[in-house]
Amino acid sequence: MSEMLSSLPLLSPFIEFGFMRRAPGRLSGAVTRATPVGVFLMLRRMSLAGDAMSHAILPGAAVGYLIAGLSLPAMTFSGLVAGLAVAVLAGGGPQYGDQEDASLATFYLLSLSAGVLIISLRGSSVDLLHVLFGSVLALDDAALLLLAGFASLSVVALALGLRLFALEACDPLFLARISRLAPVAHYGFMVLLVLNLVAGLCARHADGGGNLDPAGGGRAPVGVQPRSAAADRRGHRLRRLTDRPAAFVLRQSAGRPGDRADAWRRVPAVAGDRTARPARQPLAVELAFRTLNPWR
Amino acid sequence: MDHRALGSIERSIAHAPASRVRAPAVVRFDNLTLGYNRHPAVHHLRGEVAAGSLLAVVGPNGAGKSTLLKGIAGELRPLQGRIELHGVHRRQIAYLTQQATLDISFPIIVHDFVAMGLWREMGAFAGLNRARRQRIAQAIDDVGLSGLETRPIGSLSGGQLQRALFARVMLQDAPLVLLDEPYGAIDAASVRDLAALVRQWHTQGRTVIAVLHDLEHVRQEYPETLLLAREVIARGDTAGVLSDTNLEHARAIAEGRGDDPHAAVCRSDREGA
Repeated sequence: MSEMLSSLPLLSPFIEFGFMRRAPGRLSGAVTRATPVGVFLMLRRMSLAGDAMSHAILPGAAVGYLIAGLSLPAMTFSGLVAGLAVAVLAGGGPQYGDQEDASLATFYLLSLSAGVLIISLRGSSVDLLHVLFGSVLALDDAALLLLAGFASLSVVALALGLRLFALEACDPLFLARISRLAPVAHYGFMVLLVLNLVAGLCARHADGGGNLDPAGGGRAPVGVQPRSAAADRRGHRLRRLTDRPAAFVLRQSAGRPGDRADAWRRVPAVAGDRTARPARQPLAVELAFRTLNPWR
Repeated sequence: MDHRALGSIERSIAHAPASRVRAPAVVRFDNLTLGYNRHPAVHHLRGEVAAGSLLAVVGPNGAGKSTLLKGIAGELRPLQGRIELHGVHRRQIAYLTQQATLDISFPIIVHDFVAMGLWREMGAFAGLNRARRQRIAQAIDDVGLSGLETRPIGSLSGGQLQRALFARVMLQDAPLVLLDEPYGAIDAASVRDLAALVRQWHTQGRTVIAVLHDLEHVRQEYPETLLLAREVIARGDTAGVLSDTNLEHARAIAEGRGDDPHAAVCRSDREGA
């Protein structure tokens, strides 16, 4: 039986190699922990800040590498310390304005450079590649358990703070006026974000994800590349690509007949009319938020 | 929105059960001076806003009206003197600011947005039971947004959004309500409906302090008025406060023509110096 399955080209790698069997587990863990946090990052207009913080972790991890070599716990710990320090120093507020964007973009490039420099102080170019892009062969059971732990912690923290995080993202001053938990919501989310970024770093180290956006989905479609007409067109195409299925699901998921009729009415308007809501969130983000629904 | 529905709002409010507040709120000002970066915006305010008052705060731009509300809400620390609140904790105050701080692109629907007003009793974990859902539906109905419960707040017009904010305030069930220019940029029908809600809060025994610019509206709706121009010009019965003499005096001070030409510096501080 196994010989027959091994002969199938799509299945044989999963049968022959243990790390390939662990890869889907690592992937589902990453999706579970990173998607909701990424949704909240976008809702808080902090996608660029998420990017910058993910790179701020790199010098911290590099210091861990400098001290203890390619040790996952050492790099995780130093990355966590660096990430939390940046989260506290940055205040983690929502991001507005071009100047702040520019300084964040500068900050993350500086962090990336500093990380590369620190690793180069001790290691070879192979080590550098290993830290930056990881190795899929390193995805062993221990790494998988660590990633599963991060995913579980993240999901529990998000479940506990869901309504707080939503309220803080929607109307932070209102929350500050009515509840003393406003700082908990603010810094709690930042800690959750750092945990996810460090988990991303571990995953990268372990399986060679090669993705320098460990929050996963945290980056806005416009990203951090210089704006151009072509980039704008790409952004619009990408958004249309994600909006249409999201619009379809939003329509179908409306429960009562009245709600469904309302969804039919509003989704085309939301999807089509860009002038009415110039700063709207992508429908995929809206759909994800509606699925989480903190006021159930 | 259906304009026939608008007309029915006052009737629905008139028939709504009037739930009186348990402990009416009193606000006392004790030689209060508020300002920014050590520059006073309101000088030496003394007196009391009695429980269940319906007080309008009027004055020219820069008179310190919004500053006063920020001080009462605890968002601005007094430079001098103090504000005493009785019968209400700061976090129980319902405060509708001039510029709403909410992100209208946030994908939240009207029902859930209004439900935020129940935070004090629901907190971070309690669910929406049938009684709470009914209260939310009632609040949405009272502000005339029935039928729009599942609309995202970003798709509402300015007037509808203001109604949703009023519905959220209603659910906060606050003994003290602060309104900072609540009728800015909304049409006459919305002003009439929302003013009816404010009257309802007054009859329920809530203390309402509203910053307003429309003096005709103040004359019609508010029994008490505080006229500010960085200091108290007049306070008391609305008809008496909004006299031509008082209004001219307030304008003169705001424009630097009055007896307080250096209003950024406190008069009594200068006298003391």
